[in-house]
Amino acid sequence: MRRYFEMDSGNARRDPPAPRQAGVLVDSFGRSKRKLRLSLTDRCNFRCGYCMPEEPEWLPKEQLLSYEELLSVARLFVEELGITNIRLTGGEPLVRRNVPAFVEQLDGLRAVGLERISLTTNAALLERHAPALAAAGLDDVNISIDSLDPDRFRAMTGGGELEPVLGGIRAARDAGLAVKLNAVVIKGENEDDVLPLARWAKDEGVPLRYIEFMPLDARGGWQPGKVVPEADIVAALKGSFRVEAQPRTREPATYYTLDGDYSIGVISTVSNPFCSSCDRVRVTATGEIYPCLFSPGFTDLKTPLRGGASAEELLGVIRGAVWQKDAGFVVNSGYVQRGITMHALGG
Amino acid sequence: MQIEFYGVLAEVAGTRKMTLAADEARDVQGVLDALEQRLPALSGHLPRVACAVGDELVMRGETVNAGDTLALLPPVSGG
Repeated sequence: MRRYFEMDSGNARRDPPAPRQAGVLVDSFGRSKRKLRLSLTDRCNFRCGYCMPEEPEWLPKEQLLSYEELLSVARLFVEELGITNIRLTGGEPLVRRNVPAFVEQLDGLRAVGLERISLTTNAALLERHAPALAAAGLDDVNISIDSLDPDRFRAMTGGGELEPVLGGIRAARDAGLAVKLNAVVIKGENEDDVLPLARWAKDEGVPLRYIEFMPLDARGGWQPGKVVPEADIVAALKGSFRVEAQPRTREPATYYTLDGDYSIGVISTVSNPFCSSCDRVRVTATGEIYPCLFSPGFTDLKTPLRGGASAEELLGVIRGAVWQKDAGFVVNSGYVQRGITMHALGG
Repeated sequence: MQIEFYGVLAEVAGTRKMTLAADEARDVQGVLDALEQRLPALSGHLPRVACAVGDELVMRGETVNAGDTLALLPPVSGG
């Protein structure tokens, strides 16, 4: 794949590390990886326009990693490669059965260095599973919710119902899980939900972050008319609240205080030039390693895993894949041409 | 030509829109180079942005006409 940025000598690629180098997982720019995003499935019970293509092609079932395989991958990342955080994503991870049991298995990896287990979900199936997830060792859950209006919610999710999601949010909170809500704001669709979402989240005592939508699509187009910039989101909040900006931190979100006692965030684009502090690596439900959300290619871990490769060989595959991670977002013709979309990468 | 800044670039540039004097067409990379001269604070970000004219993404070697608007889109963080 051709690249459209020049790498000056300061960023020149170093040679790959010696094969048996021990220690933390690192790329050629010296960025250590601490966080693994592991997709359990590409299936989802919703059809949100910005994530799901119009006609999704589901990954073949036999190619989805079993829980045993997912656990062995997780163990390699934690025990040998220094990963401290695992976030379970999808598609919608809870459409897969027995997620709490899998969380319990991951919980066992705390003995070898795992510090945090997180889940990203649309919460439609969360109410029934929240207590079991908490008991199994889940620490926190990020819940995507873009509207509090039942009709708008149904339209934006391609048929999803709002009430179960609200029940799921409350159940997670009541089960003692740390909850964060993420709302994508899309002009012409849900900008009228900015205030209702803030009021609801504040009343329920649940943190909320708005995501500034960047409507790029796989066909090389972009829809400027759908963007609601951070400044406009803040202006909407000022319609009902006293809003004070907090100083910027290294987090992806900028935070504002509403009426002096409730913190709300806006997640925009990457604020570090060169994506310079990225500590994330992604593995799909079929065992493909994507070092970056925008990686043009992936490294197949499933084939060696199922082919009986030794732990040493698998570690070599993972280290090599991450070493090759690009400096940052790479522009290619048609955005990034690759055979994968957000629903399989976990967003 | 008009430049539009999205996401974090609006914060770095201190504005959402800017006019760059241009009496002739040039390629996207040329526009970004001129922009970097005007606003050195953008230099770390510019290699990483996607660029769009109208509703289409354009590559660094493509031509931007003097009357066009070039939108600069930094990478998304994800949720």
